[in-house]
Amino acid sequence: MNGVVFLLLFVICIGLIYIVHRYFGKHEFYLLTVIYSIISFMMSFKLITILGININMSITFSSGLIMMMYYFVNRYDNVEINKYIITIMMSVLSSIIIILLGSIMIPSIYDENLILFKDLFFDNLAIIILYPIALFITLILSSYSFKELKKVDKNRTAKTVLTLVGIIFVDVFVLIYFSYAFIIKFDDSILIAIGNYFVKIIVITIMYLLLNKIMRVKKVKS
Amino acid sequence: MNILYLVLAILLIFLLMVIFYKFWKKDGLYLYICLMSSILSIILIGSIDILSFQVSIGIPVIMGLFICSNIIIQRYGLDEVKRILYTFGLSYIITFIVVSLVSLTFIKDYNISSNDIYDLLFGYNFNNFRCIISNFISIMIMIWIGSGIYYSLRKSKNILVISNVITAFVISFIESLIFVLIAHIGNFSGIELFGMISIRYIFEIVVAIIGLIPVYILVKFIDK
Repeated sequence: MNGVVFLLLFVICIGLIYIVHRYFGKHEFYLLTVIYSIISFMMSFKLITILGININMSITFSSGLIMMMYYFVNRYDNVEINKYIITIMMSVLSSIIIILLGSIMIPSIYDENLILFKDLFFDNLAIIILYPIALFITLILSSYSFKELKKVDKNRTAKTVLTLVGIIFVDVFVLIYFSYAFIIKFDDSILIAIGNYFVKIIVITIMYLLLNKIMRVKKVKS
Repeated sequence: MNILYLVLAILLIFLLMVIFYKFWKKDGLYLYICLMSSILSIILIGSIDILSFQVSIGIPVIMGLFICSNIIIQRYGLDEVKRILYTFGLSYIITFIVVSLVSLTFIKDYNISSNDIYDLLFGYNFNNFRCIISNFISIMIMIWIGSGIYYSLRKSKNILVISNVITAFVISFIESLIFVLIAHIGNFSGIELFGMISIRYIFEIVVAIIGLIPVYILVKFIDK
């Protein structure tokens, strides 16, 4: 079941990018960015096991955000790229604050959910703190790298994949390693981080190859 | 203490609206609708007691959506309603479906309690589903009818406060009625349901009146 859901989320993630690219415009990409930011943040609380590897579920949609950055760098100017980063950070930070404010309220006597919210957020406080930091570092790194890669003509695909391998290393080790080091313990955390690193590399490489194909598809004018 | 947190949440929600509009104008307001819809699909299942009646913590977000749609109608006309409805509906449903989909997965080794909590919160259960559906229907109707009322009021008498307050009075009642009836009928007695509708209605009116401040800032000052 875990594998099927993971695959389904991957298809949804890349499928929505394809639909927005083909049938809509830049503005809808921003809307998708907001949705992906919140989904990715919420999924970061969930850890699942696939083929013996423990994977943080946020990796699919955070890969989607990095790939949309690639799309923006290749299609639009610097102003839009900065706007893209600001949109993501504002979405994540405002959702964290609003959800945290909600979770610290005294719940209704009929309500069990607010207590669960509180437990979920305060048990995973390390994720809440590290998630925006890791995302911001990743976005800044990827925006710089993709801009530099635009100037490269030779072996661009291979160089982009290698760059992604480097960016993912920083992302996974800031978020996954340190947060699970606090939540679980350091020894187990390194195993989770290594597993996540390899899975995220595979996910983002496939996404990158698919996105290159998607970008060649002509837009349908609405 | 709840009141203090609610006030903070309301201020933040309206401040975000002003920031989004200041930087990105019309596109910013749509981004705001998208952001609030996604957040709403996550927090609406939580509720607090106000005067011993259960009230959803998502109300400030709902009123943020209502006020934002009023600002769009005020500035860009009634033609925008369809786009507002699409933006709200798609953001709300996509976030809910994808976040809930993950609750079908499981973990063997680590962080089992957090995974269980996630599944309880966002899993496919009847009460969550009722809450999500009732919110979806009530907000769609609120935006759709509210825009019509707001536009006709604006056309006959273009006084910002009157258009907003009258629309809020009518539309909050419809929204509260639809939401409480779909989400809670069968779980509570008639008196409790009446109390829930009344408290939700009064709370929405209060938030809408506070929301006049960002409306004024946006419509009267920022554009000038």
